[in-house]
Amino acid sequence: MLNAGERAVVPVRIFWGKGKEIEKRLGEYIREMNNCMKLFYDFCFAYLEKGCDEALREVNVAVRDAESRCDDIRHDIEHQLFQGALIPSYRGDIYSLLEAVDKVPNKAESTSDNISLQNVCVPDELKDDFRELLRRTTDCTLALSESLNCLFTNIRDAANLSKKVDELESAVDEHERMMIKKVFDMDVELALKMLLKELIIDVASIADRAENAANVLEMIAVKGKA
Amino acid sequence: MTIWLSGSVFLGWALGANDAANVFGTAVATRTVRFSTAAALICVFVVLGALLGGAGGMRTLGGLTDQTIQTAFITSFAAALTVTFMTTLSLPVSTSQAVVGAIMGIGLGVGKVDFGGLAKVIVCWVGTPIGAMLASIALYYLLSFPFNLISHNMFMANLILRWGFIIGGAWGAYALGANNVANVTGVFAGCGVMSPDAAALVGSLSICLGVVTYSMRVMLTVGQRLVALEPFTALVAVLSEALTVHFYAVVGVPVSTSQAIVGAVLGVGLLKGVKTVNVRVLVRILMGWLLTPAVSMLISCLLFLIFRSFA
Repeated sequence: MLNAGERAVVPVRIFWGKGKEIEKRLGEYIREMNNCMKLFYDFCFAYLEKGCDEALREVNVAVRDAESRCDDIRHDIEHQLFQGALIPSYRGDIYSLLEAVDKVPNKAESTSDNISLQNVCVPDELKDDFRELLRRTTDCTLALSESLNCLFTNIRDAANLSKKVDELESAVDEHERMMIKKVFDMDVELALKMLLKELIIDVASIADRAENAANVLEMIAVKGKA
Repeated sequence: MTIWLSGSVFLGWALGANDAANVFGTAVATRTVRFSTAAALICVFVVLGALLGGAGGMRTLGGLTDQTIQTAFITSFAAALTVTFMTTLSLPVSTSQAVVGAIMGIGLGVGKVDFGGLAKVIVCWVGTPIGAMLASIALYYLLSFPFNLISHNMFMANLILRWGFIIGGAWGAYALGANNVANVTGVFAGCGVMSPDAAALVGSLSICLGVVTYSMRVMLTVGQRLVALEPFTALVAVLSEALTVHFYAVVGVPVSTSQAIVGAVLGVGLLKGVKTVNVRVLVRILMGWLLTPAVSMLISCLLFLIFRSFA
């Protein structure tokens, strides 16, 4: 038996269908993804500052938890989509977009795990470059988040914002190449060079994934017009 | 009376089972609307359409020739046989054309055919896919601007399209009832054994029987064809079909909803530069135009001659 409050919601649900619920859950996903990325960047900046200690490992766990919450929300949205929420064309769009966007927090989680497990010693002369790489990657994921919010306001604006993500990703790529060259010019052991290169590529690939997700969003924005 | 009406009820059942897909197929196949909801909406609006707008078609079919209760039975039985025969052979079939063909068969048998009325019917048949095509082009231009203006995000677009499919489907069901009920029981109203209202009620209820018992599979099959279209384009096709069939209900000539939807899809396809209907489909429609009334006429004429030789 429904109570008075639930009864009042029924007409609203009938009017909106399951679309309103998907909209709400998608908003939650974007907020959780932002939270996961913020924790990741905090983790990385703190790691550069003082290396990997017990307090930092807890931040790593927080990154993992945030990524896990992202997965839960994504699975819930996909479950609702398979049950027939939204019309089929939009169902496919949201599904592809979520799959692409979810690779961003996934990569953040695996990178923070690698840092925490390997505890690679970043040479002092490379730390500022690392901070710059992190700042550029942050800008890129923030731009992705901004463009994703166009899903709720005006999808056509997403096309322009997606171009911004592309440009920021190019800046990350440029910095990544410069850093790898610098690592191999340094006078350190080859094993450390390989580990540093891997770390740089891992961080930069977050921006690659953000760009891929922005491209999916751009396609949705372009085909959204009747 | 029940026995005389059995052919009509069977015809109405077949019509409901097949033609419901043209109005709600897209929404059901895409799970935008549950089948039970769609079936309930179709039943309500088919009955409403038949009671409020079915008289015109009944007058047209009733006036094509002189009918008695026996010839009315032969007409509906011959039409039902034709629909079954053509469906079994996977040939395209229109109930409207089967019924008119059967009436012509009786007309030839009794030696009285209203050729003026027949010419009007044939012009409307040709005009159905063409009219639906033009309607879809006009509606696309008319609706795309406000749609783009309002549906600035995916969720708003989803809401508009979802309700568009429901309203378009309900309108299509109303038009189906108003236009096609004459196929089912029009000949009985024409020969005076039933009042037009009673004929509309019996006819629409037998259409509902077909919708409730057998239309789901057809909806899923037919609906998938429209799903290939973009959602807005599919909505325009559904609305154009409803508009065209409603127009011919007002004119008072039963037409084929299947041919209307094909015309509508062809129209939006032309606009979008996409080949939505291939030549084979068009050839099949042409075959349906020629073969259905011819087969039906032959069956009803033969049945009438057999009946007369025994009577």
